[in-house]
Parts: sequence; C-alpha cells; structure tokens
Amino acid sequence: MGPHTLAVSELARRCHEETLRFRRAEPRDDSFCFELFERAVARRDPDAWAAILAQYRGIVLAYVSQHAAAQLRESDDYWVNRAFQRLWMALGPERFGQFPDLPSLLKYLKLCVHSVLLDEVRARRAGTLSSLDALPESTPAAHDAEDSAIRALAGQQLWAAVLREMHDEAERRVAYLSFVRDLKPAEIYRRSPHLFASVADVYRIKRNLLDRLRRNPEIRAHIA
Amino acid sequence: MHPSSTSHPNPDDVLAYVDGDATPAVVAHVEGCDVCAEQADALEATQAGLTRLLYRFDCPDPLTLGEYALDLLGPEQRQQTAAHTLECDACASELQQVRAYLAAEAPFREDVTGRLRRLVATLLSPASGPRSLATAALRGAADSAARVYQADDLTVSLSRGDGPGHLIGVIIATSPDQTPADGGQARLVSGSQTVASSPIDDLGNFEFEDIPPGVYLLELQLAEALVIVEGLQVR
Repeated sequence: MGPHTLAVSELARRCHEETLRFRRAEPRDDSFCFELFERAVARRDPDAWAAILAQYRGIVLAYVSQHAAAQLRESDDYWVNRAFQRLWMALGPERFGQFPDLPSLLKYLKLCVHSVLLDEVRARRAGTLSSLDALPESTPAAHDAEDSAIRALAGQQLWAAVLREMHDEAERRVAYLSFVRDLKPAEIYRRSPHLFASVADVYRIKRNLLDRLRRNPEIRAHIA
Repeated sequence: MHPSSTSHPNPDDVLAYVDGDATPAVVAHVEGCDVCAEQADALEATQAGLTRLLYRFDCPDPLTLGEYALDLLGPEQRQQTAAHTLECDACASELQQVRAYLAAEAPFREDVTGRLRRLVATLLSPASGPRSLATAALRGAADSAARVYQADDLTVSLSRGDGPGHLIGVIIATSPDQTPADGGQARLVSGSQTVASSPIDDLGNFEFEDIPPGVYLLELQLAEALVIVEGLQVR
C-alpha cells in the first residue's frame, strides 16, 4: 500500500521504522515520512503535525545540541518547541513544493533551529558582539517572528527620522556605520577615506550629529 | 574636582572618551570633571539609544540568510540578500556559520560498525578445514587455490573466479543452525578507501569483479560481527 492511502497512525508507525533504519545506516524508504510531513505542513492536518512533533523531537534536540549557541540559558525543550513553531510559521502549503524530498525538509527543520537561536543571540547583544562564543548572562527575552517584525519596523521608522536630520553623504555614512553597524570612527574612516579628511574629522561629524539628534523631539521619543 | 573651562578637552575628544579611544590625559580629565562627565553621559545615552534600536535593523533575519544559503529565495530577494552580505561583515559571518552548521553531520546516526564484534580471521593451511562445505557453496568454477580462513565459529573461503580481478567468496558458520550472513555486506578496503562492495546472499556467497591488483583488507559485516581478512592479495 502506498503511503497516500495510509491512516496517519500507520504512516507514523512506518515513518518511525524507516527512521530507525536511517539511524542504523541501512537502506530505507523516505516516502512515509515525507507523506507525513506533507499532510502536516501542506495540508495542515493536526494529527499529522502531532506525529511529526513526536517523531522528530529527538532529532531536533540533537540539532540544538550541535549548535554553537546551545549554551543559551534556556532549556533544550524551549528551543525544540521554538524550532517547530518556526517551521509551522515559515512553511505553508504554498511553499511545500520547494522541498522535493525528506532530506531537504530535515535540512529546513535544522535551519529553523539555527534561526531561533540566532534570533536570540542578535537580540541579547544588539550592537556589541560578533561571536557566538561569548554571550552575556543577561535575562533572556522571548523572541518570535512578531517581535522581530516590530523591531525591524521601529528601526525603519527611527532611521527615516535620522535621515531627515542628515545634511550630506558624509553624515549619512557616519550615522549608518555608527548606529546600524556599530563601527568606531577609525573603522569608518578606513572604509570611506574619500569622504573624510581624518579620523578626527569622523569624530567631529559624529559628535555634531549626536548633538543634533538628541535635540530632535521625534528621535528623543524613539530612544526614550 | 572642577577644572577651569579653559582646560576642558575638545567635545570631539569627549566623544572619543565615550568610544574608548581617548588619550590618557582626556580620560583623566573627564573622570575628574563633572561638566565633561555629564557631557560624556549625554553623548553615551544618545548613542546607546540609537544603537539599541538601529543595530542591524536592515539586516536579513537569520531565517532569510539560511534560506539564501539553501537557495530557497526568489530572484529579487536573493539578489538583495547577496548585495547586503557583500557589505555587511556581520551577515557575511552569519552566512558562513549557517552554511557550516547545515553541512555538519547529524549527531544521531549510529556508528554500526563500532558495536559489532570484530573478528580477525586466521588463514588455515590451504585447502584444509571444512573445505567441502565451503566448496559446495561456491558459485562458479571451483578453484584448487582457494584460501580458507577461520574466525571464531565462522569460516571464510576465498578463490579466484573467471579472469583477473575476479574474487569469489563464501562465509559460513560451523554451527549448522546458524545463518550468519544473510543481509550482510562484503567490502574490499585499500588504505581508508572502500574499493568494492558486495552483498552477502542467504547462502553466504559474495563476489567482486574487476578488482585492480593489490593487497586489500576484506571486511565482512554481519548482523553481529565484523570479520576481517588482512593482507588479501589480488593479482
């Protein structure tokens, strides 16, 4: 019997068997697990989704433990749940056709693990860190797609307000590289020597625009 | 301490102090001057507020970067992401990280061979041992130069087939009610490379063809054991 004709419970059982074969490096048939994913993701079958969570929870846990940011101060279960939530939100019926086989789906599931961990890394240390190896012991904040979207929108609005205060390309460059890229004046000068006479020139421009920005009521309202 | 106004550093130097780039003299002054310290605090507060809200606001989120790495983005978004990562060190670094992470081997696949009983076979005298049983199980022409090996309760018989590079083998258990080999795999290994592999059938037979001349390690992976024949010369 083909997988399309099987009930979810039987599909889940066959998927489990084939997954065990995979773990033993034996030949296996991916069609049962793939059918389970299709019903869960493309057809939004709740029973199939529950089966996917049960079947792949261990694998996702392994993905979490494999990640450099796994030492973030949340339980592994928290990241497993967030990863599945991310998969549910990111993959719908309209996108399922992009995944031709089970390995491509599992790779995307692994990407979901990475994305929820990286979202947290970015949020915790906005502005000062470039490495996953050193993370602060600050209170974790729960971040989801909605939080990220709100932050991006707020950033766009603030940036638009900042741009309205800029007088020329040199100021725009200093503002962008200082606040959006968190670069120091010496690095700004190194990247754009044609715009500035010296590092001191960058400091002068930056100090002027900081003084101007903190007097702007709209910008003060944003950063208050 | 309240230094006179004529000794205050340039306001740009106060900003350098905020950024950690000031000279020792400026640092000493700011830390001892209420006026300059207040100025530094104001600059720092404004800068920190702006950076907190603007840092990487225009960077693609980690999921988008990952989808770019997996070539799942549409043409326009792919182009935008590519252009951005060329200019943004942080995103270029994250792109490298996600590619390495996605390419890393899954940690949950079991190392099957590590669990098996390893048996190094011993060469018996040529044509000695349970040869008649081994010969009866051979496919193709029997070869008087068959080499017989013993590993625990398993016997391996190897002989040349038709033509050079053709090797025929059979593995049987001396215990009559045991069928050790069904579903197993035979491999010829040179160095760390598997040169050839063959399934082992339900009678214990396996076969290799077109094997280049050389000395090989033969591995016979069974359900509960890995039998190894060392120094197997193929002419």
